[in-house]
Amino acid sequence: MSMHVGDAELDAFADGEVEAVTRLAIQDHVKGCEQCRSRVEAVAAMKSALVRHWGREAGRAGLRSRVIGAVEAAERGRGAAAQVPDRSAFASDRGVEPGGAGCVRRRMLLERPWVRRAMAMTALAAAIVAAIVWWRPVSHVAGSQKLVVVVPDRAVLGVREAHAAWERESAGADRKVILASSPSALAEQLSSTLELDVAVPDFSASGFALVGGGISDVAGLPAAHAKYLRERPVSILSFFTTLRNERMGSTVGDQKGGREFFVSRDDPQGAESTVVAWNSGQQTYAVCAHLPREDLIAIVTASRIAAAPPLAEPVLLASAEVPLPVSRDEVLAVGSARPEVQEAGSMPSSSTSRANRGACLVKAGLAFWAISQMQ
Amino acid sequence: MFSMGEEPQRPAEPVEGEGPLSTSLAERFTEIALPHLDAVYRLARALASSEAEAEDLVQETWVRAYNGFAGFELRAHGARPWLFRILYNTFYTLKGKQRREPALLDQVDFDHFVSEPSGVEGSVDRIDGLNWEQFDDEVKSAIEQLRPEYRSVLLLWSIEGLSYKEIATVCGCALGTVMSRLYRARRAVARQLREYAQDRRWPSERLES
Repeated sequence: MSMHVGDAELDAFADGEVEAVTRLAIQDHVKGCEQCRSRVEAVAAMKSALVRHWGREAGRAGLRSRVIGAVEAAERGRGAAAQVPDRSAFASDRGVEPGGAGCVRRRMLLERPWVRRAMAMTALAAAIVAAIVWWRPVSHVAGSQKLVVVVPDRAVLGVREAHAAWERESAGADRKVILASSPSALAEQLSSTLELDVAVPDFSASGFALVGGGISDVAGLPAAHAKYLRERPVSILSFFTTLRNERMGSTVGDQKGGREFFVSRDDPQGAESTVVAWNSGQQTYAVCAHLPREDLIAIVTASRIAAAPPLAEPVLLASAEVPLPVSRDEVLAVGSARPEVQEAGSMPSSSTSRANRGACLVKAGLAFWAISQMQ
Repeated sequence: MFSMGEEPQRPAEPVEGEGPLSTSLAERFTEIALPHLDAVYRLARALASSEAEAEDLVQETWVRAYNGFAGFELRAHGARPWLFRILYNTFYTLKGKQRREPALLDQVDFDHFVSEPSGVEGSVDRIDGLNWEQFDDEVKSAIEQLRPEYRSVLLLWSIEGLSYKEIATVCGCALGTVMSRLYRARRAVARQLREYAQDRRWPSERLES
């Protein structure tokens, strides 16, 4: 009898992964060698056992709806991105085709029965993306509606870069999503990644469960975010933190530094969108939600007990409830500075069919904000 | 064209004003990808440390896959390995600083042990001689002792039935690395089960199939 075959080679033979010549040689050997034959059979036995004990594992019932919702949400995200009027200007810089997937419609998909059954979860997931912080050059938004925009010139540059970063994230190339099951775990991962002491409040007492979080590398600086979900009533709570950015150089009155959070809502049902922000140390924190302002303030205030960092008195920055047009006095009442207020021009006709949109621009130091209402 | 070794690229379509085209893309993606949801979840579960993390991973994979779907050629690659590949990349991207390649074991030249003589009788690393019928939850328990990169290879081989080459593509590693990991994973599982049986003083004949 020839010498025994090596274990790994015998494994490969059992898996049909050896070349023809070798296979024939091993086959001859195995026929006359009980020990090697036993080991070949053992590979198959192990495979069968693994299939029997491991192969039935499947995701929970809600997973199917969740991924359907994620695709739906991705479409919504693209749609939102494509609604930036001068997006093509950025696209040309990035080599991304203008228009993208922003014009996605879901009519045919929604007609499918299994999709209908998943509508509830789909709506939730879509709302998550609708609450994602993203950046857009609001100074370029034009419309027939009253639109108040305050964006210092140098900040526009930052917004442009930020918007490009968002596009890259949307494409899945540089997205940094943090998987975590608890606020403390997420905080740990965010802190580790950012090398910064990031706190993620626990809003579970208010019924908000952590969905996940991530980091956007924007204009060379990190912005971390966490998302929470409350199913009944359906609400999204997004929490953001970032370093106050001296380098961005944006100035509004005497206020310098800080980051601009642009919170976009694309909700055809017209849910409210409210933002609360505060500073702590060198970081800026903001919470936004599709909630009435009173509810959000109550939730954020209550979280002061359990959440680190210690929250300064939360200040309501903006809400879609605010009647339009937004007056200069209201802007000044929000921020202590004296921002320059600009009114936009006429809105492109292609934008007129869009759903109502409420947008809040939040800056550290509570400097400025903007709300638009599209018809 | 999508390459198995690359991250999905943002689709070039649709063009603004052509909603039905986009809808068709989403519909097609869902029809093609959904049948593999359980398989994708299994791989996610093999990599992640919890069900919740696995589900997050699946969701992120789904979004990335959809973003790259326009450039994906089904006939060339098949949906399942493609989804596996995205998931695997996503997992290690999200893990960030963790090393993609496990230390030491994968550095071992496959030829080093391919020519070794067969396992010695009585060795705890033998995979033969186990009576698989007597194990139940112990099998999964033994699997869970493996590190993710070994557990995932074992899963792709056994449950998903991928070839070594396909596994190497999914994992983005060399064929020899796949063989090495599979070799180690099988024997680690066998060792765990054998020790389990010995701890319970099961009669030796019960160990024999």
